[in-house]
Amino acid sequence: MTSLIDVMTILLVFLIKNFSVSSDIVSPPPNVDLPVSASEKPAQPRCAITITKEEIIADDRVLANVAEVKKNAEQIIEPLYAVMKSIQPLCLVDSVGSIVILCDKDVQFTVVKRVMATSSRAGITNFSVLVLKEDG
Amino acid sequence: MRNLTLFRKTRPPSEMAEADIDVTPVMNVFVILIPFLVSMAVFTQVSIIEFSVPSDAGQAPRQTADRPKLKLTVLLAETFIGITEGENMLDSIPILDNGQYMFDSLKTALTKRRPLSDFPDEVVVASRDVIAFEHVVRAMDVSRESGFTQIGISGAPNDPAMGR
Repeated sequence: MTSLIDVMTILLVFLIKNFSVSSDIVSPPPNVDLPVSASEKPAQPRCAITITKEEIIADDRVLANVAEVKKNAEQIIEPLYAVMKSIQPLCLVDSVGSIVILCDKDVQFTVVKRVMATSSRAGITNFSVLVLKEDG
Repeated sequence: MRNLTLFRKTRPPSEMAEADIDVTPVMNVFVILIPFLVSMAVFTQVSIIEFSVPSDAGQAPRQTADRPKLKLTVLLAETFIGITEGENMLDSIPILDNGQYMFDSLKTALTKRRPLSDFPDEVVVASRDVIAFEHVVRAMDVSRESGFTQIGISGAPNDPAMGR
């Protein structure tokens, strides 16, 4: 019984150390391997676009395939543009369209660039990327 | 000492027995507390990097009739990292044999170049299309560590002649 209490006590101390009063506002999906950064800026509640290795997701919908976006010469991703245009009024922070990009670390920059170009066309001009804290 | 020995010998067996602590209430508290803490624990901490999309990557609008003021640009290419100012390549840092970028050298070069720049707080990270996003994030990190506070992100032309 004493050893069980010892285990419980160690577990309790560990969990209290990792306790968070406010749960994360933006949770990375399990199939996105976020890049690591030393940035300390906390995540804010914002509209999000998720770029996994295979898909581009916004508003809980799969809007484009990453491989097709890379193959296509078009800078604007039409299905994404239509969705971003419709949700743009909901993404205003201080009257500026703002969005957070959850992008897998192995995705090529061309995909991120096209997502940003599409969002800019839809009136979203303030970007941030979600990263894992280096020592997090 | 003699008295103590005598005392021990004279105590009844029931008092000699070790007291057994009842840990059941403690265990009850633990069993309730631990699932609660597990549900609220954060095992991966996330943060954000904010950046702008410059309309004039690498070049600021002409301020006066003098030479145009130029922003520093970190160019991420497949085989090197370049630091450019407008059209001029100031530094070129080749990748290592194992394909890794030398971000430590980039930090040293940026720290050296920053005070000489017309815009010592601003830098643009320009990446070529095939570069993995994690390298872009790392370049932004290094730029911030070098003292730049306003970081822009931009695409770089896929010009093989650039950065010889």
